[in-house]
Amino acid sequence: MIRMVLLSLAFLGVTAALLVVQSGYTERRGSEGRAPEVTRASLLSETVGTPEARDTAPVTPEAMPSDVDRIVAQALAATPEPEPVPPTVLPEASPVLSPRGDLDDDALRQMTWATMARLNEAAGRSAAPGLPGSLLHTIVQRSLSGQAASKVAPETYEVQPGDSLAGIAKKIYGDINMSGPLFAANQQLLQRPDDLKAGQRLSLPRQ
Amino acid sequence: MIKGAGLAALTCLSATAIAADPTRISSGITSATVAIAGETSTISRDGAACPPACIQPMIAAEGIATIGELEVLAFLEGAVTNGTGLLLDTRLPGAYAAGTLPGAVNVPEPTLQGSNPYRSDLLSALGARGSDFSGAFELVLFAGGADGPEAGEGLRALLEAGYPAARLRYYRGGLAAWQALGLSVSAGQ
Repeated sequence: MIRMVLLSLAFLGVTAALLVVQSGYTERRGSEGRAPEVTRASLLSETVGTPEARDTAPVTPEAMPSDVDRIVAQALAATPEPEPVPPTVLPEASPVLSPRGDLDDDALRQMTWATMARLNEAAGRSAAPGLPGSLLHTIVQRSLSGQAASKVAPETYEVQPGDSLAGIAKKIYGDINMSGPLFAANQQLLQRPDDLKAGQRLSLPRQ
Repeated sequence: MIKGAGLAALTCLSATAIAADPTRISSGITSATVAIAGETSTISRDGAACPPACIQPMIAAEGIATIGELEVLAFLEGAVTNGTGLLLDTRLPGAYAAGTLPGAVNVPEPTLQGSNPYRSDLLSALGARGSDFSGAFELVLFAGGADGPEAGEGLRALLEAGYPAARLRYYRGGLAAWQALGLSVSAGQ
């Protein structure tokens, strides 16, 4: 009986300790890494308030950053808000309606993110992870904009004399284990994995 | 007050707009003629042409103060050092990297325009919270010189976005005037 009580007391103690450590961690992160613009309400209202965030189909690259913003903002919303600004000044939907012009391209997007990173640096603050201006956000934007080196492999490959599936996999992907996916992607051409003829065009699956 | 009043000067500054482009001096202005005591001389401009290097008016927009180098220095030592102000170089990143005013941050003018769908994020980085600009930075904008249109256009775009004019200032001389006075220039970060 006493053992049981001691055990449950110990369990409660550990749980309480973990909770204390956890809240201390978030508080620390909240006070150091928080940029003044990082409020959930403002971010959400901005992303919801801009027409392109609503109107664009969710798969277009323009819409995806907003989705990422929202998800990250929600994930980070648990962070305590030490900003003394009372909730009455929380902004309503942003009045800045940005009409789409000719400048809406990847270059403008990259320029904006780079500018924000510089502004945050100059302002002596580091944006919370994942929010605009942070390194993570920049990386996410870069990868979403499709300018990252995601296109490692070309779309098709012309079989050369003496090629084998494993050889092609090694040559294209640097990974001999890709010969399986390569065969699967070309089953309309190849009866067997060694059924290669010079001049065949193999379609290359994504790694 | 007026010395040399014997010169009974009749000054006639007429801007002649000729349809030929580029207009050289500024929008619609190719040359100016001045007549003093019967002698007429013509002012024209060599080198840079307008557009894009149009000589900018003194006032970028109503309510925005235009400042000179001493005010920029005071701004750098005051607001920028205290963390309440930012000196913005509105040129494109390449020009900024080649050389800029010490302490200036590069915010290219196209990113401030309403056509930039990510401008609200940028305004957040400048301290705006939606339509609330009470915590926003004081800004001084400049470009390559008095013939750099980026600063004025950036200021007007900020005004249109709701940025209070009282928090905006225009350093019209820009990098060219700064350098002409021998003031230090630093490489853009």
